[in-house]
Amino acid sequence: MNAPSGQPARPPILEVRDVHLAYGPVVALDGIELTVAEGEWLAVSGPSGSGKSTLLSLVAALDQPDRGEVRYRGRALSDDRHLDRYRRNEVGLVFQLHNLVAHLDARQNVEIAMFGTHRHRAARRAAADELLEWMQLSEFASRRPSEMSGGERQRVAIARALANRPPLLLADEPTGSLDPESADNVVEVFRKLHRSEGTTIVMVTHDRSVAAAADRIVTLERGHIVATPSAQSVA
Amino acid sequence: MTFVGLIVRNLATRRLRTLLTAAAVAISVTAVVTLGVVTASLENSAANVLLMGKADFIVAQKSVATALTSVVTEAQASRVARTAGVHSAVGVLVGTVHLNATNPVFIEIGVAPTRLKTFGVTIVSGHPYGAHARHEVMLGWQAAQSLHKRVGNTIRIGTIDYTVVGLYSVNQVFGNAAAMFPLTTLQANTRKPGTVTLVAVRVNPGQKVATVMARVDRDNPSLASVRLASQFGRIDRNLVFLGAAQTGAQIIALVVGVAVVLSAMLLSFVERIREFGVLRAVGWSRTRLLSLVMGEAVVISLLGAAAGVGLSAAFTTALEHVSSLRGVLESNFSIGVVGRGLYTAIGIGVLAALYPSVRAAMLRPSVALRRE
Repeated sequence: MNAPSGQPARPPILEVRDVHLAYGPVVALDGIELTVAEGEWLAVSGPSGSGKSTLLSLVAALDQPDRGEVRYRGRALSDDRHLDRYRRNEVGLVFQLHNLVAHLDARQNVEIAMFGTHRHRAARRAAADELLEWMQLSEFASRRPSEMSGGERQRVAIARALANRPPLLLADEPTGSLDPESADNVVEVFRKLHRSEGTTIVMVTHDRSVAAAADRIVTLERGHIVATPSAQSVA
Repeated sequence: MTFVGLIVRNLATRRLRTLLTAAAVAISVTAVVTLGVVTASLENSAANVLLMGKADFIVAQKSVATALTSVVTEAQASRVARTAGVHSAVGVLVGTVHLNATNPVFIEIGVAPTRLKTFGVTIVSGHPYGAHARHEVMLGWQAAQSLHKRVGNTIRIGTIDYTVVGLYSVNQVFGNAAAMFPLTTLQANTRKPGTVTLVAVRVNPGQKVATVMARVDRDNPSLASVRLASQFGRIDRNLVFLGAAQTGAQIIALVVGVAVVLSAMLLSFVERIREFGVLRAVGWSRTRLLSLVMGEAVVISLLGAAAGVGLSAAFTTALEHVSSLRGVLESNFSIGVVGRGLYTAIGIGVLAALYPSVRAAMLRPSVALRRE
């Protein structure tokens, strides 16, 4: 997949250029340089507090760097005046804690990501049902998060992240709160997405076995990228 | 699921809080609508009493406590009659008396028998009273029906027994539910010799009523001419005070309503920061999030408005049965009064939701998502 230089051969979907971010005196990211190719599955690994989730939140445009820039398909996010559209149409977000809306059922949780896409109610519902079916969650469509297991909730959260067919899926410790079997299911969903849909995935994880499923791994420590071992070498 | 459906579902999830918040709005709306209905009703009652007969407008003493305490001297009435453009001016004395428990506010009208036709009175049975007859009365046909009186019967009004010499009809219900006396008799009985309560004026054909009214006002600084219920504040100071009280109550209701709804919305905002963060993270715009919070407030307001109007209807209906107000208060829920309740409720909702909805919209998604 990678060129001999270690850089992706396909055009970059994401470029992180000299990104710095500090929370008061705490430096979270310090001069991060990273390129992700279209269709690549990248795992970002590292110990707690290394800046993995912060990096992901910058890529998701949930936060802004103090210095440097994040470019999506060549365009700097800092130039984008409609970051909500970027978050809605270009990226899908999966969190460690599923972050589903507790009083909505699985179908409605998927549908809320489609508000603002000019899809009619019936189209939104049909798309949500299709995604839940793809996640093998059809029977859970009318259930609330409290009526589902952790793994099922996380798969609903993935369905929500995919609601608008984003080219880029960002996952922050997606298996962090799951038992091994549920974690395997989630990784399998990602693998299926990556292979059949060609979705680019950037996945933050501290679980080396989960990271091994990716094409490439970058490791962060104290806000720096310290190594980019291949996934195969980790496995 | 539609956007409105999501709003309703969000509110239904916090059912008790939604109902309590709507109840606060309802109390504010009840206060505003009830006062509005009472004011309008008293205004209409005063207008109906004073605007009976075939008058283009009426003239009464300016700025008295209540319209029925107006005193216009017969000399002033004659000057009004001489005003250019005036076709006729009939001096009328109006008073009220406690007749019995079912008629606690019975209207007495004093008109000279020679002016009855000009005033717009039609005799439907019997004959008019004599000009100075001390014990003759005519009853409006509705009063005769409810009191079971016919021509020739005797009726005790106050401390005096009268013979019913005729039944009459005028153009409105208050007049038809009243009794009519010779002007001098009523002046003597009420100790108001040489005075009337109002002058009913008709203008010459082709004359503009407003022009003649302006002349009367100019020539008689202590008098005021009115033709609409809304103008009665010029005569009846109580109506002005009531109107001011209504405005004051509306402001207080608005402030209290906003404070209660704001505290409920702020509590909801704090509880839902993470939810708002998720919505922003999945691509909701600031405007959409603002609309969600604002929409929830407006739905609560509409619930409160509906409950408030219902409560007000029950309250004013109960007031109608208070004996001292029977016949005076007739609750009429006009579009204007209900509209005032509605915009008060929506005003409460929008004002109260403004701050929490802007805060929700301005949340940084990364900060909101970190919220436990």
